[in-house]
Amino acid sequence: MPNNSIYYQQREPSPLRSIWLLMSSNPFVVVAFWALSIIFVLMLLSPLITPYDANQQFADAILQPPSWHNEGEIRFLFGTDDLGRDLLSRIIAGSVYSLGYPLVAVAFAALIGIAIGAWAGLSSGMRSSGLNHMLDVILSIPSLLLALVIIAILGPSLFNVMLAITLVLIPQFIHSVRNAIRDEIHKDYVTASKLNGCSTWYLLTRVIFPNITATVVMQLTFALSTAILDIAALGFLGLGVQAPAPEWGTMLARSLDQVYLYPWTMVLPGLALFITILAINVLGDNLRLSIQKRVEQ
Amino acid sequence: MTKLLEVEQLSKSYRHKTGLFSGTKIVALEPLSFSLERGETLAIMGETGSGKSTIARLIAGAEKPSGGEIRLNGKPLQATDYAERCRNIRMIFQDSLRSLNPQITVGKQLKEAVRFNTNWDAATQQQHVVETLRKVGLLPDHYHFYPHMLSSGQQQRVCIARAIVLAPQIIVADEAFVSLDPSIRAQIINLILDLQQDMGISFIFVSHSTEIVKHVADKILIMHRGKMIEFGPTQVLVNHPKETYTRHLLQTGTL
Repeated sequence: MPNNSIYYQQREPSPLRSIWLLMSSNPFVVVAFWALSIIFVLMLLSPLITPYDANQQFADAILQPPSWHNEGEIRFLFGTDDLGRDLLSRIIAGSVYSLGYPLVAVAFAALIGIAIGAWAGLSSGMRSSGLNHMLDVILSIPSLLLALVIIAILGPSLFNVMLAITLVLIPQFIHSVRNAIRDEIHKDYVTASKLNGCSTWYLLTRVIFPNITATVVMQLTFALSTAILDIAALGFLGLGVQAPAPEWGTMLARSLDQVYLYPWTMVLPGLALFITILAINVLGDNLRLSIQKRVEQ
Repeated sequence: MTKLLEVEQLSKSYRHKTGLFSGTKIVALEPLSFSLERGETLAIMGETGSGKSTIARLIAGAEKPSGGEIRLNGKPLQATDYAERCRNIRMIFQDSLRSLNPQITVGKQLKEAVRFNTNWDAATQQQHVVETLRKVGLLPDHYHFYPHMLSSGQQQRVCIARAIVLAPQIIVADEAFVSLDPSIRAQIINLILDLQQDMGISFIFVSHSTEIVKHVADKILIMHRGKMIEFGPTQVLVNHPKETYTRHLLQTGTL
């Protein structure tokens, strides 16, 4: 059969694909992308792939060094802690607390914050300003401190930590989305769409939103890294996730008094936390840059 | 028979806020009246800040008038009823690139107008948009282009396509030719004149250029500091202007 495509055809990559093409030109971003993807997949599959239960204790293998050490054993790849629990299993299971819960908190905060922000951006006068500054009081207190206040009143628990973090993140979303919409709404292309007789919903979701994704992405990554750090910090202080749960911050706190003798119990969870946050920041920053660059191309 | 467009005592003023309750009123447009027949071309001329863009935006519905009435075929137009208005009056903006959404393909933007104003199915909508692109001298391939991938002349054509896609009765152009170079400007103007002949559109345009106005317009409206100082057929205004300002504007091309 003869080849039908005799004409040279230039295909314009879709918006998503062109963003990826721009991003993948930077090797750090590719590494960050794969690192985060692997962590994310490990988190989703954590009940299936952990070699042992996170709380199972091996009395014969207390404080076993990692397997690459001379005294290490291959059945405990990352070694064990002072109660003889497998560190690899604990780190993988801990990703649910340290990455999964922040993701949920950010998703809720984004949903509420973007909705209020969009409403404030589309309305005008007193109502806009009222919606915009509704939760500003929360902004006056640092996120960790507010979480501490809420925990002091309601008692330490994972739910209260989630509540505190979600509350803290909402006003930042409101402000950034509202300001971004305000900047766009008086531009000619929005007026042109209005003169097309578009509904307000269409105007918001199809006309304005594609143009403020850079702002939203930046806010999302910023919120996610804040949420991860706050949950880890509260776990470290013993106020968030409670002790037997394999949360990375809690693991750091527990290993604090053994760090000179058995450094792997602290370094490995710390490294997991570090890599996750670094990957999110690198990825978010470059995603925002690529979205901006695509428009300017 | 009623006239196509009648503008009566139309005015626009802004409130410049200085405090919470205090503010000064700035009059952009003092009450003016004029009318336009089917298939006619009206040019609005004047210096910068004389209110000529304001008239264009008021007629197109991009801004709400402070007073007065605009009647289309004898029926008054509501300021906020975009759906009714856009089937009859369409606007071409001054800066074509900025009036196109940078994140959406040209085709989808044109389809947006069709989608909200007709009850055709998706295939018919698509076909209509492609036909409109052909009419303004673009290719069906341009459907999938993003605005930044087109040259400024092509962007202007897309804006014209957006104006004619709903087969309106009136097109308002706000200094739409300023940023184009002379040869493309000539092409675009010829294109508009052709479309006017084919579709019987009335055309209102704001311009600085005396040559274009003399070449294209049937009637001229001269603005000066928010007031209409003269309105009449091109021949009369060019040959026997009543005001010295009009004579300066039309005969020398400079102020």
